Amino acid sequence: MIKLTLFKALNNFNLDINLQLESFNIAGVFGPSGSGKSTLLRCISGLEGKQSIYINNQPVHHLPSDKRGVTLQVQSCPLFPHLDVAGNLAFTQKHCANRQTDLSEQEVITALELQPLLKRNVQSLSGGERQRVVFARTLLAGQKLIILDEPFSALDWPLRFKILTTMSNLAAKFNIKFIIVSHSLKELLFCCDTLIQLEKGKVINQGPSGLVAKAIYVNNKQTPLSLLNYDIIKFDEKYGVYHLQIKQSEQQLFVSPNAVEQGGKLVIESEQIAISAIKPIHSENTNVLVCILTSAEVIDSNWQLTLNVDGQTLYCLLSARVWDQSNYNVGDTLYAAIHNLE
Amino acid sequence: MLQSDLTALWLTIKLAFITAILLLAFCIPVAYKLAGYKGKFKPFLEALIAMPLVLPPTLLGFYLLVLFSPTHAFGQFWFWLTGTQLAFSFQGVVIGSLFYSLPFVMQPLVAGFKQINQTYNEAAIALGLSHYKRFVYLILPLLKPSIGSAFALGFAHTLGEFGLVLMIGGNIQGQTQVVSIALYDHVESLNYAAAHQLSLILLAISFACLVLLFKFNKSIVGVKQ
Amino acid sequence: MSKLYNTLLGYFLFVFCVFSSTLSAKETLHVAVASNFKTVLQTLLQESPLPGVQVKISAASSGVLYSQIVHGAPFDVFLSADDVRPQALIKEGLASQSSLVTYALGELALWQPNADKVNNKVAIANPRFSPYGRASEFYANAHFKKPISYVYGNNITQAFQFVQSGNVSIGLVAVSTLKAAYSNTQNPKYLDYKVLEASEYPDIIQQGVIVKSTKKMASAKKLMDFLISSSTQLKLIKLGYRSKDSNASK
Repeated sequence: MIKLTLFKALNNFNLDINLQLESFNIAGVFGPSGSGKSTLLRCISGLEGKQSIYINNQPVHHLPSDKRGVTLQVQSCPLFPHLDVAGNLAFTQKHCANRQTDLSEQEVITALELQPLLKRNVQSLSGGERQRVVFARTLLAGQKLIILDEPFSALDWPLRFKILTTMSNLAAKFNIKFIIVSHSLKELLFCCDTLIQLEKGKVINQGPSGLVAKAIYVNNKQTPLSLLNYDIIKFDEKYGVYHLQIKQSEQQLFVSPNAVEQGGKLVIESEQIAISAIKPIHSENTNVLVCILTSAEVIDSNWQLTLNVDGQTLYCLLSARVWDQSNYNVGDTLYAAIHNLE
Repeated sequence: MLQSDLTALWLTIKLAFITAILLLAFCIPVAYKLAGYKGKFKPFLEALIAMPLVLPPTLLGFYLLVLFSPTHAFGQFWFWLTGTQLAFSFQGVVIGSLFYSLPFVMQPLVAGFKQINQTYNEAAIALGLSHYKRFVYLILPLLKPSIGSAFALGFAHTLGEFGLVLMIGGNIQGQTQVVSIALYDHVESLNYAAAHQLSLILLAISFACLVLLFKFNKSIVGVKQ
Repeated sequence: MSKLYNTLLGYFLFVFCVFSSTLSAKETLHVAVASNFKTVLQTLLQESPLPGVQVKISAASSGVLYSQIVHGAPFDVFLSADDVRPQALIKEGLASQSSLVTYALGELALWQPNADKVNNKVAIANPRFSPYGRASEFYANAHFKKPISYVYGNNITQAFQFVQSGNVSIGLVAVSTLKAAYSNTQNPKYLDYKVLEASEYPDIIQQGVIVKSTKKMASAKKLMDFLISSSTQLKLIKLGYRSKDSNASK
């Protein structure tokens, strides 16, 4: 649905991009700073350059920004200082023409929990509060393709995961497509279905976010982050923990409200996972998942194991010593204990 | 206080007010274009606008006198248009003041537009706001403090205008005899008491203008986020 | 070689400087002169320089020069465009009565270089502080149809400029300005004027005084004597001033 051919001479290199994005809900653009990410976005939205760009098979490169059906939220996008928070939100809704979604101001305020901020002066907002208001304002411009340039960099991780989940929900509910730029792979992996890797002005990798992210992690000699989708069974009020069930699986986990309130995915760092070949005793009381070892590879003298949990993937890291002594083989059933969830 | 001095005072305030308003009307669109213009003629345009800052006002006045002359095409055109002559008339002095105070109104506006362009205008374009809406609902409200300073500077600078009016005014009471000229008259004719009195009033008005100016400058909102 | 040349040149320059400074060991006289007499004074001094006196000229309007002297400006001689200010200086005790001289009498002309009138304005010098202006106003009130719409020049030269630039058809201007303009440009329009009868307007008396605080009294007196000498006065008539004799006969 987006097809573009860009060529632009930048200071140190040429931005030379030939990109076709077919079906996506949230696409991520990853790359180090100065790799041409922002310029790419500015070209799509019409802030820069007359390049060849098709959106939904319609050429838009001859159109001005306000006629492209695209909203770009520029990096460190300012709020308008002559209006308060509520005024800023009303501004785009009132003045942006051709709104294509019926997203209401109240819906956005509720979804992003902005009610307490409405009467605030924009100068008095913290960095994180400001980014939430800016995002809300962007949504209220009412377009179905929204491009975000480092939108949540000032938010801490729990809040960031939460807002990314909100974004995914809005994308599904209102059929909005997002393209999000970030230099944080963790952020992109969490919310995107499609990932584009940019380096020195060229697309060097593109595809489903899990695959691209893994390739990037491997390239950087890092162990990928694991994400687990789940359903909530119930909230155990006595202990204040959620009882979760892994999607498309019978396996269950007990998780603290913090991790759950971030949204529909559990983010698990490799350090949280410990594996063994025998089922740990009292496994009913701890968070242990049964999985199958699908591959093992050496990364920087350590072993990175890829585990399949009823269709979902976990990544963990073993030191060479442990790997040599444990004698695991691909295809083995292993037990992964996951710490620090409760 | 002399009746003629009161007339001069009123005339000066009228002149400064009209000049500042006309200059605002001219400078706001021009400054908007200029702030966004990045072509190779930019330094030349900027220098041209700043010229009245460095040109001696008497020189400016002398060339205006030549321009206003009925022997000159412009003077003829004006006479054909209005049936009046520009030299020694209030309109003529207004035209002179427009040149004289131009940079003082233009420069705060250009600076204001530049600041808004760099931060807010681009964000609004990216949000998908049309040109017209951006100008009316975003840029103009944000420009208010700059408009205030531009007006105050233009007004105050015109109050003190002397050399130019001396050249093209002809010292006619109620028409072209502004305060600075009346002051000069008093000094030249050794009437120092009247001169002191008039300068005190001029001083007070100019001071009030500048106080307002700095108040405007202070109230500029949200320059940095 | 080039070094030798440089040293020699330096030596010659040094010697030259020493000689020239001894040769030009003149007393410097600071003269405050009304703007409209500045070029005339320069011409006079160029034609016959004062022996042993170097004249440094500061020109401004008479009013400005007057207040500068009152506030201690280091001038030795004040040549005003009128008679009020030199006499005011004497009254203030800043100049001596004995040094007061009338060094020139202004002469007025009616100048209308273009036959077709653009307007019925009359350019004159400001009568409030210019003797030319007072004389012009006196003449115009007696001879022109009323009401007269005046355009006031800050001095007699500016009244001339108003007519010259074509903004005013008629002006009462100084004959000396017209003559100077003609000798500079040879443009015949500067010859097309009517000298007014001396009896039809009050005398335009230009007076000068020696400032009391001067330490160069002798040189100052030399300048004053030079100005009122008959040869200088003859030259002034040629430059567009009236002779003192015609004044006496009046």
